[in-house]
Amino acid sequence: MPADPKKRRLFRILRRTKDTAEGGSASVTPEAWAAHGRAVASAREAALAVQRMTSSLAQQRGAVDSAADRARSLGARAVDLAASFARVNDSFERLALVALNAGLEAARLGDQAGHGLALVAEEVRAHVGRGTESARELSGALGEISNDLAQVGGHVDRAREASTEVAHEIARAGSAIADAERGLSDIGERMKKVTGTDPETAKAIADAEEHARALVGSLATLSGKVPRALVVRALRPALEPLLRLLDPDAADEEGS
Amino acid sequence: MIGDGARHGGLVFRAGGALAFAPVSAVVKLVVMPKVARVPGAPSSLLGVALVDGEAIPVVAIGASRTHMLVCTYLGERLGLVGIESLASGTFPADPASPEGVRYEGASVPALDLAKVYASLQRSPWA
Repeated sequence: MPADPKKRRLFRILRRTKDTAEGGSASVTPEAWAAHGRAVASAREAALAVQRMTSSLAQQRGAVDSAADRARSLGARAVDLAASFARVNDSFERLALVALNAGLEAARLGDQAGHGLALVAEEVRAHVGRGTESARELSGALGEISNDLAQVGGHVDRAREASTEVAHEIARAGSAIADAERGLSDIGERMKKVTGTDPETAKAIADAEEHARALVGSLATLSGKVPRALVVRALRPALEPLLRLLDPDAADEEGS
Repeated sequence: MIGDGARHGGLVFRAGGALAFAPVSAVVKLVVMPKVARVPGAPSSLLGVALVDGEAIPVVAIGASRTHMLVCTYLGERLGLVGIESLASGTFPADPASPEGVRYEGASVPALDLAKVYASLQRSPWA
């Protein structure tokens, strides 16, 4: 008894599909596309991270430049203040001479007549002494601040050099990531050519495979437990479209 | 003999690590260190000549400091002394142990011997 032509066609399709599947690429494709997709997403995330780092570094550089300007400005102000302190010290020295000369004049006038002048001279000398001491302390503190400012300026300059170096490194990383993205794009194009699929198609195929396995599992559960006619009736809505999908030529023949 | 209440007026200063007292009779005034013109061939202790109140006076160094100058008179001539650290002016108790000297903060301070300064200057060789 000759075999059913539809059945023969189904077996032919299955055999042909089996040959293709044994070629290897079909089953690997979804995983390859998934790996490719993850690599593309990682590269994109890395590119965004580089953009964020560049932005942060620009802000940091602005802050460092601002700090450097401020340190320079304070250094210049400290130099001005040092000059002012020198003038203050000079004034105190002159005032001390005035007080000493007043003391000499008081001595010339004698104890009686020069008493008042001597008191004033002594008072002025005492104030000059305290003022000189205070000016010396302030001058010393200013010198320490100037030294600290010079060190801060040095640190800021080094931070600026470091940020410049980091900027270069980030630029290199960005360039490398751009290369990687281009490489992944090339790989994607080649995979499309080799496998004849794209990520969406590969995913649809994987979904179909999963559904087919589920269907086979259901059929195995039903096998021998329900009348065959019921199974065929249940599968009929899917079988015709499936055959048309798998063998379009035959579908065309039937249609004509 | 100097009595217990005797006092001398003048300037107490330190020069070359030692205290000295310049009596008002020898002192004119203290001035800020003026510009000093070197005298070629002069001995090292004679710093040079400075203008004080329009008069050129010799300037002699008796110490290292150069902040101010003590203008003195000796035998009717004015003389500038530099290298001093002025400590106090006014009247000070006379020192019984030292003629013309005073007591300052418990220490005996001898009077400045301007004659000696002049003599050392004259003994110093000129080039």
